[in-house]
Amino acid sequence: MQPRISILICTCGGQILEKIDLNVLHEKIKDLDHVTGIKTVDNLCKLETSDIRSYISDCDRVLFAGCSERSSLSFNEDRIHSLLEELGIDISMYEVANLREQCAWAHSDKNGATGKAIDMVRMAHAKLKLNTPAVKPPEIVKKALVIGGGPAGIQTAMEAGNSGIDVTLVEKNHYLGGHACQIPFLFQCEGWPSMCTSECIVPVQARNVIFNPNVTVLTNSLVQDIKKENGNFKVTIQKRAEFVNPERCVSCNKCSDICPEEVEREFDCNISKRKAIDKDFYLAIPDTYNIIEEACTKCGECLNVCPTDAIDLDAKVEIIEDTFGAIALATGFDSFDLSRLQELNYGENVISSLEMERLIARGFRDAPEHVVFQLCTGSRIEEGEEGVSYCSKTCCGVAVKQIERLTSMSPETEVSVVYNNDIRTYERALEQFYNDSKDLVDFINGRIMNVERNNGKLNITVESPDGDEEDIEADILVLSEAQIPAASDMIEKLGLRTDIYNYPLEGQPRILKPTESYIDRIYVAGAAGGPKIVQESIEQGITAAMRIVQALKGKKPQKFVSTVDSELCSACKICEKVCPHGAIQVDEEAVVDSAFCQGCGLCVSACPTHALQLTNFQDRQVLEQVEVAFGNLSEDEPRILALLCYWCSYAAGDLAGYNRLQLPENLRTIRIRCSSSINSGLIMEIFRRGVDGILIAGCPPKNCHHVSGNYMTAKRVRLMNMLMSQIGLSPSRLKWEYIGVPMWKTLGKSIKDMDKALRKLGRIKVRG
Amino acid sequence: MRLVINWAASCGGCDVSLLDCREVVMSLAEHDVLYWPVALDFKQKDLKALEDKSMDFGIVNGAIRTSEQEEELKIVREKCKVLVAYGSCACFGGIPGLANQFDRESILRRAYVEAQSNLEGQEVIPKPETEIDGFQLTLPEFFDSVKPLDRVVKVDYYVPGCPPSSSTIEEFARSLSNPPERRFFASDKSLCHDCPRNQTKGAKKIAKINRPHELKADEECLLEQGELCMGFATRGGCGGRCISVNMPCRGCYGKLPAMVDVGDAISTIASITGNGEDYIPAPKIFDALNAVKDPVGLFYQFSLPSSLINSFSADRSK
Repeated sequence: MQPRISILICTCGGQILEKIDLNVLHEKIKDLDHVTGIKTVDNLCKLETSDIRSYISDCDRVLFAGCSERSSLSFNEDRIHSLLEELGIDISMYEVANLREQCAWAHSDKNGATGKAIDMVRMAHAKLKLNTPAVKPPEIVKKALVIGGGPAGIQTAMEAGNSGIDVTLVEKNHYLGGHACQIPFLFQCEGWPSMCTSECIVPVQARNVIFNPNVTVLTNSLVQDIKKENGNFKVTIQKRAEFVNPERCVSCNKCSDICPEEVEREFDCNISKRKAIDKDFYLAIPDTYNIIEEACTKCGECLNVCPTDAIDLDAKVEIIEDTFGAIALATGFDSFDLSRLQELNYGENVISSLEMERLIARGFRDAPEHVVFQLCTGSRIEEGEEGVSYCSKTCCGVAVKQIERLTSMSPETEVSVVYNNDIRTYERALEQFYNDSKDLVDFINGRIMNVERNNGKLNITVESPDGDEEDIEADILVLSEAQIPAASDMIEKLGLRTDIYNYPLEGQPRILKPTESYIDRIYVAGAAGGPKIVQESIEQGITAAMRIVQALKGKKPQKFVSTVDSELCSACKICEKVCPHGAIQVDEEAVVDSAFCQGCGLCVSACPTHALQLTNFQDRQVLEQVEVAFGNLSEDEPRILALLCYWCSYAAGDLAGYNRLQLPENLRTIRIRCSSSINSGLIMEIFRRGVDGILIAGCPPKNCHHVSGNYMTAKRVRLMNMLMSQIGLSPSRLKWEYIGVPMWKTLGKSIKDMDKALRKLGRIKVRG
Repeated sequence: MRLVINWAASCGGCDVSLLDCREVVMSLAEHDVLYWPVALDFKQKDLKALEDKSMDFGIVNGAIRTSEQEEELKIVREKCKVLVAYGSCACFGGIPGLANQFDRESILRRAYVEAQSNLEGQEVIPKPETEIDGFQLTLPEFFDSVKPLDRVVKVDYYVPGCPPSSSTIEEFARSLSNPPERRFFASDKSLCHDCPRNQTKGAKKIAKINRPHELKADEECLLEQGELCMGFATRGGCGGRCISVNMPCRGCYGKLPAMVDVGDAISTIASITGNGEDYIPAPKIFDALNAVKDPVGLFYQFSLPSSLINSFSADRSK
């Protein structure tokens, strides 16, 4: 069926009319093919849908000529989408000729502006007639998987469950609560310098999921495999052997009493023992005993005493397969391995901060005379040292909190803190703990260089920033260890992009997307995304759950989706490497899972075989626009084409208009997808079609919405500039700029500079 | 079968490759070779003496650099029913085509004046016509640029390779009696498609570009190890003779059918080089790429004259 295009021109209350002769425009575009009608209105944004409907009869696509779809405050693309939905027109079937921001407001000469406006409508028309219907997303399974049963994971599962989502919560330990249950006193919040006991908080929180009818809790379980399948996640979960049936166990402790095998109690950081059959701690939820398989000799004594027949020594591993529409990664943190810092002699009486929590929980048998803390152990390191270079954020606060606990339990204990240049007890509550500890503690700026054990005492050598050494004798040395990301295997299985520390990256714009990752419907909550106090993890759990609830309502049709031409695909896997959204998998050939595709085009520009193309942003559509872009420009004028990225740079182009920055009339712009959606061959082809200068602009560094498309294009242009120099083409014909939304002046200057340079160089010439 | 085999701007390797191939040598007995100046003492007049379209196949290797080569190519075209561009130079311009970075004057100047082997002060630059002692001496004209065969005459078949691999030659030799529909004696898929190392390609980017002697693992994808292997952008069908001995592909089988230009590979390389770059400051993102000193030599090693980028007139004198 032939396209039927309706064109709606808006005068914008006269603002466009003032600068563009709409009669001439109308005359020049009325014979464009497939146009069923052209209507000029005064204020499109103020019209009722019914009016608009009456203006656009008999069409399957609409060309709006008026304000910017990106930046308009009253008629932007979201509004257009809703309008089209109301009108029953496919949301892909529209284009906008941005006559206001990037023409009427950018040029003062009415003739020039009118000529450009004609070209702009022709460009939009050239693209629109090749548009294809939005891609219908697959059915998203209304089930969520939460990986990790600490505070963040529990909260996510509970909130999503309460909102009617079917949730499976997988926890590797036998109990819920994660590290939070090992910490007897938890900070409350940033504003209140007090603590709550985890013995209250964790069971209260955990009961909310255990008894939630929508949440299935799988403790002692591991996520084995995650595969994306038709828009959803196909997950294999390994539930390890359940030797004690939680349905029957009454936690009477008879089995444990009789069990002859003793092992270290991991929950207590191995400072106490437990039986092979035991509970990790008395308040553990679910309220059931468990068996440590490696320690159990299967002597059967426990079977004899169990009053409820809850024990099955032949229990087997169970494999559970299920499909989910969303995943929350809430795997918390791991502690930096302190044994890697050999000079600190980690071991007896030299303990980690987490081990100190367990000591505080259990109480000291004999009050120590002197306890030394060292902050920033393995964090904030210099290059070449063991550890991580970031600040683990919570540890200074944890140390002063532990000092408060320690000194209230044993007032006579002397405390010293060795700190790394500053103490980072941020925000009101932690700073209060710090202030309260000042009278009790000897704060020493420096670093521990050596620790020796001597008759039950520790000899600690501290070096000051000036290089002076001081020896301290102590009973216990507490090392505030760095927090590092846990579950890197999970991050890999999910295919999440990470920062250099292996924490998953949040999606851009990060300010608006807490907990969202770069992969659609994968969320990262709590300490899995970086060190946090428990309340912050809870907040993130609530946020992630809210996002899950929204996401599982299903996806809208997508205008821009990457598609594969299998004839052309060579399965070289480059696309899989560059896709930041985990949407492509290559076996025999590349397969795009459209539900994960965000239509950025990174794969398109990286695909060497041109097998990948974006729907509604095909190379062909770009070239068709180029063909008509300069129709109203005299032959000797240099042609400038600015390819502006969908988010930042195009908006900067609009703001230049808002600010009435006057730009050369020989400029045309195309709103491209990510700045990395245009490949080098296409750039050359655009030159071949007579464009004299191309400016590509994308988001500023570290602001790319697709991780690093801006960097990719910066590199692409760098290589192309080198190439152009080699073959005698002036590199000033192809430029790259980082242009953020407010950088309209930079954009304007760059365009004007290019215009000047091109006027010196003359038109690009293609040999016969 | 009546054959003409000729050469133009080439190294002679293509002719050798024919003689190296058992199948070709064996089949020579069945065919009449009426012109093959590399192998036997033929002169241009022998070629001219042939009747138009009397030859079944004309096989030409080498690119077109001089007027004489162009002239002979046109004659071969007239004499032969089917013309085959044999080897990368004939198909795409090849190594001699790299000279298209420079114009005629600067090339001649470099070769006959500036090169250290010239006698100082003696500026003798060959010209098409020179008069000495009343005698008119002529030389073929040295063109301003190198062209592949199809920029001069219609080419029916392309047998790429520098030189074509024996499997390609055999396939080509076998098809002489029964010409196939496809015009390219190479795969329409990239070398990666058939490369046994492709399976080892993973998600990581190329943090550092390495040179072939820095290769670490024999079985792993060369690109993954930081070798700028052009297999991803090059037609397969060569049998992977370079990659099988740990040498990265340089692209002698030419660009893939759907590529706009060989330089599409620039796009790919720019997308996959760099490491942890989402985190590092913008200027440092070029660090990995700084190892690329010569994009023409890297991406256009065998195909500059047939490329899109070579179709623009220079902005300044080269």
